[in-house]
Formats: sequence, structure tokens, C-alpha cells
Amino acid sequence: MITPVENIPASEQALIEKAQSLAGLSLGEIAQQANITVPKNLNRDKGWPGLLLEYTLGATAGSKPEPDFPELGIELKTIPINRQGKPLETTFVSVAPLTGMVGSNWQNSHVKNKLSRVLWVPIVAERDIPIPERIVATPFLWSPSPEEENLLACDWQELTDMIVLGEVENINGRHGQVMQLRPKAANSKAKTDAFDKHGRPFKTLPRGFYLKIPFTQMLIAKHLRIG
Amino acid sequence: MSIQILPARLANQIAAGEVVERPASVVKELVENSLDAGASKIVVDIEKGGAKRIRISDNGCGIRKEELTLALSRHATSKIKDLTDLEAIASLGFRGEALASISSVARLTMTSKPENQESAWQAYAQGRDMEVTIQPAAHPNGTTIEVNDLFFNTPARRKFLRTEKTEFSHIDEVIRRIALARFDVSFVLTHNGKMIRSYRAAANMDQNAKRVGQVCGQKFIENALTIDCQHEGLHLWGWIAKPEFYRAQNDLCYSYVNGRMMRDKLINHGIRQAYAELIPSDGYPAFVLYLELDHKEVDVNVHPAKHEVRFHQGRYVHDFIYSVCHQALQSDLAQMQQSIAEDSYGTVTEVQYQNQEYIKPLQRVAEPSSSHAFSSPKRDNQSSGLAAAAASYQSLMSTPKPSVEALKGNAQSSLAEKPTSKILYVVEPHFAVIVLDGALKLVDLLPIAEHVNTQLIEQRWQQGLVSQPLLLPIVVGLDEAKVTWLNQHVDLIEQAGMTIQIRTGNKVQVRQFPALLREKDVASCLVQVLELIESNTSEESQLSVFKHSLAKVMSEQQYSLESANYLWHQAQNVLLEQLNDLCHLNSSEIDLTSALAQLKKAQLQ
Repeated sequence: MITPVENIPASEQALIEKAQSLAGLSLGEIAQQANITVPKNLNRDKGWPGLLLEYTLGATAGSKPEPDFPELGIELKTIPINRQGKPLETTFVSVAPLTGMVGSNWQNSHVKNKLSRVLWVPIVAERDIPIPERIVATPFLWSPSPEEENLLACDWQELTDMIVLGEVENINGRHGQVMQLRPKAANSKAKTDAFDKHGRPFKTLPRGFYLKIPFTQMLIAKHLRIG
Repeated sequence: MSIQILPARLANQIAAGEVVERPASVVKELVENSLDAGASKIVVDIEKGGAKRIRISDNGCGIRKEELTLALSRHATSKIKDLTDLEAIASLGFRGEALASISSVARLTMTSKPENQESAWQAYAQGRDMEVTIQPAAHPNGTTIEVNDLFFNTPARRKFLRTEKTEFSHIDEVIRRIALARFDVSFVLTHNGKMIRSYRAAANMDQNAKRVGQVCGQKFIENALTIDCQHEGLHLWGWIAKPEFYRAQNDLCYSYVNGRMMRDKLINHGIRQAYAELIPSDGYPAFVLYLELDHKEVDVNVHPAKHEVRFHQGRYVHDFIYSVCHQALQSDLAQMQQSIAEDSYGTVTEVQYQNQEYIKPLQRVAEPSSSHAFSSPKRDNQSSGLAAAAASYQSLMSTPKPSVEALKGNAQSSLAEKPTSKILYVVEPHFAVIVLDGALKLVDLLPIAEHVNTQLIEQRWQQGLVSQPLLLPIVVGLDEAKVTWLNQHVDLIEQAGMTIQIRTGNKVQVRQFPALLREKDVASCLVQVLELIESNTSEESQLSVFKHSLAKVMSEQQYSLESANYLWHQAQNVLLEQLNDLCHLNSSEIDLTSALAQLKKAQLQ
């Protein structure tokens, strides 16, 4: 569904005001305002809350390699949390390229690009809450502090080095302090090109960079009053 | 069992286990020594696969008579002097172990004559402590080392030796590898008196290529692409075979880092990756490549045999090798096909964003007026009163009270350095026993807390109180008077770090609240402040009434000894002399007369 032009925010201020006006509303209420059907469950519509908010807030990029709000350079990230403000899952950042990484560094990486300015939209989405009743918490704008960026850059460097040197199969969720590399695929049949430890091409599951829960939890605790 | 220092020979034999694996490793160590000595001509004579005799003669700088003894002892070397040299090793050897190790497992004689020494001398080590004997000999400028009966005294190792032919082929391989490293040195290899290899010193690229052809086969050089690329301190040059010339074994993989032969994973990975799908997955590329970089950028002190190195910027080196090889292969391919091949790997390719089919696009509601889209009852804050709202959010906001825990650390650390607190005991809920002007007094902590908090608010008021967005906005129901007050004093509540939106039906939505009140429940806090303002009848301005009310609500109503101490410490810092007056105004003396009298009475009885 195409985002209507009138939804596209003109400025960062307009966006954050619009976003914060959604705070406290349920997904059902937001969907009703937007005239959109709420799915029965998210098993087949995992990204639905994200799409709903993208639509409502006027994001246009979708999953293209540019920010959700290209004119503002802002990325939108919904994050399911429990009532105590703890994220329920890791947060997807970007697809990890497994080939063509020659000469890439943190400064020109997709991860840095994606995380340079983020509008976080926490959603209280514990499993027992029906989807329409899940409540949007207060959205906030974030750019990594020098310390946060350093943590991200270190993890990115370590994980990328491993990918380039053919260790991709040896990477598991324990690598990385704040960011991890995990398979990202709808099913285990989708395979992509990569290089093994001898430098030979082979097929493996596509991978994505994910922010670990303690990191996003720290962000929420830092920016919002919990309790 | 007693602890003893090992005899020199035994210690060297142990070290030999790492360095001297087979005759070929002896040859490698000794030829590298010759190269480090600056030899331009090296002759290697082998008998019976090296088990009987290995003799290496060079025309290098030689070893002076006085140093012959030292040369045979362990940890003696001329190649490095101190740790700084180890940071940037330019010579092939540096550990100072090879000669001592070899002479501990074989009969080794060394004959040497430096150019400026009149005659040659010969040295050999023998016995348990490996004492070195020296005698005059005849020899041209340079050094000859003869290693006879390798492993004669270590039968275990001897058993691992393979046939004469196999051992010699290993030696042959070592010479081939080294010959590729030093085009400027001529090498002669003989076996049982028969000349096997003879490489003449090469002076230009054509002659270099000729030697590569000699070592790797003429077919390799005919199928090879020449590479020479320099970039930011890295220099890669050499020959890589076209993909058609792939090998079933990795027998033509020669890589060198600063003239040192390598079997390094990182280098091989970069090269193999450049070939990608151009060769079958069980095939090996053929290459002779030289990487040159600053000695400081690479650590060779990783492995005794130095087959592996560590690059300080491993990925950078890897990517460089990959790019150079890849470009060479691609441009060759392009030439062959007479068309510009799509460069699928060269530059950073676009990340492929897959169509995320499992995220369905949003769907319009079928009938625009479908209110029954929600099967479950609608969440309804508007109809519930203040109590219900407060209660429901209470559960949302239920967190363990971090206040005292947080204070604890603060209080304790500050108390440690400032043990001036006079609080002796806390009488619940908010009274404290203190010593004031030499008298025991009971002081009410509430007014003190209120004064401290008023001060804190005053200090921060100009730039506005620090505001915290709530995780979830809170809807509070108020009576009309309170809503009106809020409506009339928007600037005040904004300055206090509150973001409050007035809704219909005397409801307000709180989105941000001052950080100073982070320990309090938002809804009840707001109501309390507004009630305090309402009940105020003094002539004060609304601004100061508002501040006072905030300060009052901020104040703790119950104290433990710890939180009382923390408050006291805060009060000393914020209120200064004012604290003393406050204490006088809000305390009464504890009269101990009756207690004393009772004790005296008890004593008398």
C-alpha cells in the first residue's frame, strides 16, 4: 500500500509530534483511523505493526536501502516490549551482505547508515494482549552516542571480518556485545551466496544484523520513564 | 622427584622437536641462514634423502672465529638485538634456535671464513653439555655446514623418516619455494652426487619469469597473468594462473610475505575468493605471489617454522589481495570474451534486498464503517474515573522501588568521606534524633526535605526542569477547577517539564513528567500538586505556590536511617547555614531527666 502524500512529515519536529500523538493509542485505534484491517494473528504478518506505523507516520522507503523517511534521514523502528519496558525480541537492523564486502568499513556500512537517526516506537505487545489492544508507547528520536556508536562499530568490525574471512558459518548469537548476526529468512530454503573458509563460494542462509535486547532495553530506559 | 635444570643437549633436543621435523626442515633453516648472511650462491648437497648427509655451502658473510662457539649455542643470534627489532623483523630467522637444535640431534660441523679473516675455522659441538671444539680448516669465503646422521641420537624421530625419495622430494620442494623467494640468488641442489636443480641468478623480470617456469613448469608461466599493484604501503606482484589452469592439488600455491614463504590462511582465502566460481569447488588455483609491506605491519613471531603470520590489519590485506587478483582475472576474462563482462564481484555490489513476502502489504478495511473489526471489548480509559485509571496504570508502572536502593550507594559513598551526619536514630515516619548544640533533639525531617527540594527546583527552574517522556502516556481524570488551572498555567507546567494535553470530559493526558519526580506515581502526584495549589490561600504568586507544591510532593514521607542520612547530607550541601535554623525551628529537645532519674534510682537499690 502506498503511503499517501499528506502523511509524509515535512520536518523532524512534525514527525516526532505526529509520532508522540500516537502514544497511548492501541494498534486497533490506529488501524481504524487509517482504515486498515487488523490481522487475526501475526504468524503470517510478522511485520504488520511496523507497516501500520510506517503508513500512519508517512514512511516511504519500505525495506529499500534508504531510510524510511528519506527526506529526513530517519529510520523507523518499532520494538515490541513488555509492560516493564523490556524489549521482547532482538531488533533487526539490516541484511548482512555476505559477498562484495571488499573495502567496506563501518563508516560506509549499512548498519551505521540505518542507525544514524532512528525513531523508536515501542509497542507494549506481550503475547497475551490481543493485537488490536496492543498499545503504542512513547516514541523517541535517537542517534548513537559516541560510546554507543563505538560498541556498534566494534561488533560490526568483528562480525564483518569473520564474514569476509569465510567464518560466517561459525558466527552464532553469542558473538558481539550489543549486535549479533543471525540467519534471516522466511524459511530455511532461501539461500544466498557466501565464501567459505578456503575462499570458495558456497550457499548459506541469508544473515541479518540484530540489536541485542540489553542494548535496546538500555536505550528505552535512558529515554523514557518506566514506571 | 627433584627439580633440575635440563642439560643443554636435552633442552636443545626438545627445541629441535619444534624446528627439526625432517631433513627438509634442516635444509630450510640452513638455507635461510645463508640468505640472511647475504649469500648470492648456495649449493645444497644431499645424500640418502638427507638422513646421511646435508651439506650447505654459501658465499655469505661468514662467521668469525671468536663467534663460532656462540653460533652453536641456543638463543644466540646476530639477527635481532632487542625487543624493538622483534617488532619489525626483516631477516628470515631470528629465534637463535636452529643451529643449536640441529646440532643436538645430528653430527654438525660448521666451517666458515669471513672475507677479512685470513684462514677458515671449523667448529663442532659434542657431549652432554654441547661443548664446542674449534680447529683450523680450509674454506673459501663463506660458510659450509655439514649435517651428518640426522636423528642418530633420537631413534624415535628417526622412525618417522620416510623413504629416501620422499624425504628428498620434501627437500626439493623447500629449495623450489626458496628459489622463488630469491631470484637474485643462484641455487644448486644435488642428490647422491647427481645435479637435480640448478637455478641461475635472475636479474630482470624476463629471467624471473624463466625461473618461475623452471620451478612451476613452463605450462604455468604460459597460462599465467602478471600482477603488479601498489596501494597505500602494500605491494602485491607475481603471477596467477588463468582459471582454466586450475589444479587438482594445492601444489602450485606459492605465496611470500616480505620474502618469507607462507602457507597463510588469510592470503589463500583472498586468492581463492578472487577465483570464486571460475574454478570448480574442489579445484585449487595456481599462483606465485609476493606481498610486500612494512615489517611493522606484520608479526612473524607466531609459529616456530614461520609458515603463518599475523597482519595488524588482516582484513585490509585480505581485501587488497582479493581485489588485485580479482581485477586481473576479470580483465583477462573480458579480453577473452571480447566483451565487457559484468563485474559481479569487483566493486561493492548492491546488497540484495529480498522481497519480504512474509510481510504482507497492509489491507484496506472492506467496509469503511466496520466498527465490529474489533471482536474484543474496546479499551476505554475515558469512561473510567481517576481511581480506575490510576490503578490500571499502577500495574503498568509497577517496578521495584529503586529509590532507596539508588540512594544507598550515593549515601554511603558520600558519607564515607563526610562523616558529619548527626542523625542517631529515626523515629517513624519522619522524625530523627540528632545532637544539636550539645543537646539531644527530635527533629521533623519533612520541612527540611521540603526546603531542600524547593532549593533543587529553584536551581533548575531557569533552564526548565529536566523532563522525561513516559513509556506510556497516562490519562488522568480531574475536576473542572484543576483542568481550568492547568489551562491557565500552560507556561508553568511546561517549565516544570510536564507535557499535559487536555482532553474532553475533564481528562488530561500526561506524556512527560519532571525527572525529579521519577520515584512518584505520575497520576497521584499530579492530583496532589493541583490539590495543594487549590488549598493554598496565601498571597504568594502562582509560580511560587506551584514550586512549593512540587517540592512538597517530591518529599519523602517515610524515612529510614539511610534515607534520612542521605537527606541530611543533601541539606548540608544545599541549605548550608540555613539548616541549623531550620533544625531549631522544627525540633524539640528530648528530655532525659526522668530516664536519668530512673537509672539513678536503680543504682541506689
